[in-house]
Amino acid sequence: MSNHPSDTELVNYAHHALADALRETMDDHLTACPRCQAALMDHQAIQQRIQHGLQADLGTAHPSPQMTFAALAPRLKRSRRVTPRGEQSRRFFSGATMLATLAALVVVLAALFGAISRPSGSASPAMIPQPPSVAMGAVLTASIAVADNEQLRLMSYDLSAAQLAPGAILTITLYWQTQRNLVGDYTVFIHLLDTAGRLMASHDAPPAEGTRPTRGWRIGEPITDSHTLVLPNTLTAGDYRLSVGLYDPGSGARLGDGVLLDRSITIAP
Amino acid sequence: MCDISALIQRWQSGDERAGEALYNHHREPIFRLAYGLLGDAADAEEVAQDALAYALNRIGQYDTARSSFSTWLHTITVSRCRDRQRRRRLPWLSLTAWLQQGGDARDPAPNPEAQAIRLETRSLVWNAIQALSPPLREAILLRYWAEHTFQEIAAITGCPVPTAQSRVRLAFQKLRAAIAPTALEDLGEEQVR
Repeated sequence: MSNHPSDTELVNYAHHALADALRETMDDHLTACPRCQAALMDHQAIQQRIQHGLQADLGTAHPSPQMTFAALAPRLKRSRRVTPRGEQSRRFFSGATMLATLAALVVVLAALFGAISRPSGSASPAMIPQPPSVAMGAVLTASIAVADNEQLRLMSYDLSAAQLAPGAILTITLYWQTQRNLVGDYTVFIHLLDTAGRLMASHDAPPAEGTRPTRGWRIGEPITDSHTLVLPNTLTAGDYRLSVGLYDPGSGARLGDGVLLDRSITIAP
Repeated sequence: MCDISALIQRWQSGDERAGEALYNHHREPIFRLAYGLLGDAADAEEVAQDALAYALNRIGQYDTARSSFSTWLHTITVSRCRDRQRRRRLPWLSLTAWLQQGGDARDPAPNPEAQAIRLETRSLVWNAIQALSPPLREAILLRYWAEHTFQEIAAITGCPVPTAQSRVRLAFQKLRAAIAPTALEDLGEEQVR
């Protein structure tokens, strides 16, 4: 490339929007042209400024407390999960409802029969298992401050419940803060381990589902980062450990001491 | 392990908690995208609820082979934001007009007190983005905020990939002129072939 690239080409280069051949030509030119290097750096500085500006304004914007699933739920009951085979689904649900009603009737009759035929004075076992005390929405909050080499802190966290049933969904919200600009984009891991340290369930994802990569975190900015962990239906009752941390997806190396949060979780049927 | 896929399957099979978990997982990101596109928190909240309701009701239409769930949600959200803009005819100001007015985003029905508060609490970048035309605003937010690829932006906004690239470039150049007007001067005329 004998001439300097145009502004459009430089902007496209900064946005990775050039075809490979042109990009290679541009690479060669930039290697030898300090002025275009400086122009590119200006572009990159503006890109960063745009990203930081968006994070400052959008990253701190929260919907009102009225925006909840409960508020949405009535809208889901009428036309729920309509698929291209919606008509068939509706017929199925209609049949399923009838079957469920019949099944409930059978259960009630069986229970009545059992109660009548049971010898008087015997212990009264629970005829229908009680649902586990899964407290979705219950919030447990704890503050910890674990720093790694990059002064990254997990300030606190919320758990949807500390006792769950097999097959339940655990929502964990992490509140991060960094004291320095981070150079890497790290991935969050959430592991459920049994008492022998075996991995029973896991969830790995970049913070905030990739919308808040760690490299873009600003110093002191509170970062809210929610994850969901689907527990296997095959979990047996007992105590488990919930481990949370960060790792470099490139090397797989965990940050800091490896585990930033380690707490117990009870699985009860 | 893809928890979102598991949640979708469970929601499809009738697990209410999975629907709630899906909702909670995407509630804030969808709200924020709508807020960035519309510039109004109340409108963004309504649009986000509409988009999430649509997605949960029509989860059977989501095709894992075509896009991630987030990308599908963003497609719905962008569409809903366009509907809202058309329906309410939300005022938006061209960047040229904004710059001619000295860089202040003026409310068409100005309330001095509200305007002062808004300008204090909004960054120059935010005001410049809100002054972009809707297609450019979509492109820049999907690229810079949601970090989509150009292919994804094209799919979400329903345009060819080169158009998505052009929109991001144009939006960037307009934002650059608004937030760093001296940058163009520094580049010099001879920079442009």
